[in-house]
Amino acid sequence: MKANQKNPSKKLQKEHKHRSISFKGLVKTVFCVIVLVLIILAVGAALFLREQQKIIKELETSIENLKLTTVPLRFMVLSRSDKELSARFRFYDGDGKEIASFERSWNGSDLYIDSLVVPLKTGAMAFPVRVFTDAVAPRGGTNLMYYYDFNGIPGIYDSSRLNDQQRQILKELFTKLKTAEGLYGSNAAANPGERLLTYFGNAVHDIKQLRQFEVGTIYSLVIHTDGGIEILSE
Amino acid sequence: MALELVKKVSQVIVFLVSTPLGYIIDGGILLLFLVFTLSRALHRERLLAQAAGTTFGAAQKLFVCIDALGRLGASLLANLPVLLIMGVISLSVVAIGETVQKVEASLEAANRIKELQAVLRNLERSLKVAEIRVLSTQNDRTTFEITFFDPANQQSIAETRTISIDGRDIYIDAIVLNFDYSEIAAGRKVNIAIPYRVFSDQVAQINGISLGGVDSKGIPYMFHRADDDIYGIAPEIYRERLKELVQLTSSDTSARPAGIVRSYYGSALHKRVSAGDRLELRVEQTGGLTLRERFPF
Repeated sequence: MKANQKNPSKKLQKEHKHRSISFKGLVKTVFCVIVLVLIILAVGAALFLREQQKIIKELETSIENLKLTTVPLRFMVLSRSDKELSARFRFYDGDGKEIASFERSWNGSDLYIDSLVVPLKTGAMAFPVRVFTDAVAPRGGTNLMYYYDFNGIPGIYDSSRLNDQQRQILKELFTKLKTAEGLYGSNAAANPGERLLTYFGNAVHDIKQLRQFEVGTIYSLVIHTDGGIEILSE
Repeated sequence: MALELVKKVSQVIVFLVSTPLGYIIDGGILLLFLVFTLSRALHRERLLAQAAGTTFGAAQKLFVCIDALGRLGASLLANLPVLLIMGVISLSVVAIGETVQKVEASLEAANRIKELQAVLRNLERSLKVAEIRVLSTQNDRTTFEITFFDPANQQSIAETRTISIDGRDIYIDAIVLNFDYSEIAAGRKVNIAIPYRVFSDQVAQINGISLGGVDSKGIPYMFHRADDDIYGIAPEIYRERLKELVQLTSSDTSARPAGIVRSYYGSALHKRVSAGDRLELRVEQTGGLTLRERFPF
């Protein structure tokens, strides 16, 4: 009888021990799985964050590139009267070095600096082409290309960073532009060079009634990568 | 609050196990513990030797130290499961802390990306100001139709006019106002262009054709409208814009209030045209105007 009484309690104890071991094992397993999942999440989050930081860098670079400008020309009004004004112009190459300068007088009160803008796949290039005033028709203006045309290469885009091939491409583009604009020979109405090159002109200027260029102040002709042209005082 | 605490604890653990200074601190704590353990053992044995009236020489000291280190090692082995559990818990805390940190950083990065995308979008914007349709170029005289648009609503036509002028290279002259990049990037301002005159390669600007005339403040009359004639924009907003333009352009000091206006000048876009040409005059949000060709359908 005593043996029978002892056996059920021993059996119960064994069962209880077995259940405890199983429960502990389950808890350990669940705990390990949770830790593993957390580690995987942490690694995943770190990789995702790295990608996001890459995107941020690219966006910041794109924004900076949009703000890139070149300054091929600076000018200053030397004197101004009701009917005449005089100004000095300086041209700069791709390295920022001065390559030419001149001074002239014109009839008129508003000064126009005309440039030809050539849109390209990687941005736009602008070539100052003439200076005229409100009183002088554009075709009577002063040719600017003459001052930076060095053996067919536009000095304002030349740079020590360019190789021979790039210089050759630049020369060909400049030649096409001059031909299309009729600066080679006559500017006949049907110029075959015209349709070979897509370009437009932009003559930036001051406005007598609103804002004139101040005598003695240096202004920059600023070219944006998308082809916009702006005048900024220094 | 609980998450912050977990983050802080995680940072401390990571610091202690992955940085040179952390290693130095860990080493320092271990060294202190060892010194304390050995000092205590040596002190106890010295007292026992004194009580027993025996000497406590160098050999005994060495033996005591080795014995103390041995006991320490045995104690560590005996408590290995506890140490492992503590290690796993620390790893869990670190994993939770790192995950929380990375998720927060990721949310910040997502906001930053959204901001930068908006800035890029604003700077890349190009708004149509006018459309030109060339009707004829006979006898070296160009006739064209020019349609003006409200930059705020690209579908809203402000006016259409037909103009004839001598010459084939047509100049559309406009007043241009460029705001600072910060204003454009934030979407607070858009660069403004107001066409006000047409001339050509043969016709000087002073003899050109006024586009509806300009008032005493230099603002084209075409932009002064009765309420009923203003389309696509609320009249009060339209007038507010004109007022803003007048204030900004009326004098040297007001034209650059707090550096908001970057530049203000005239810009005459031009192109040698042929009959059938269709062109768009656009104001770029990086600054200045551009001309695009729209080939006939």
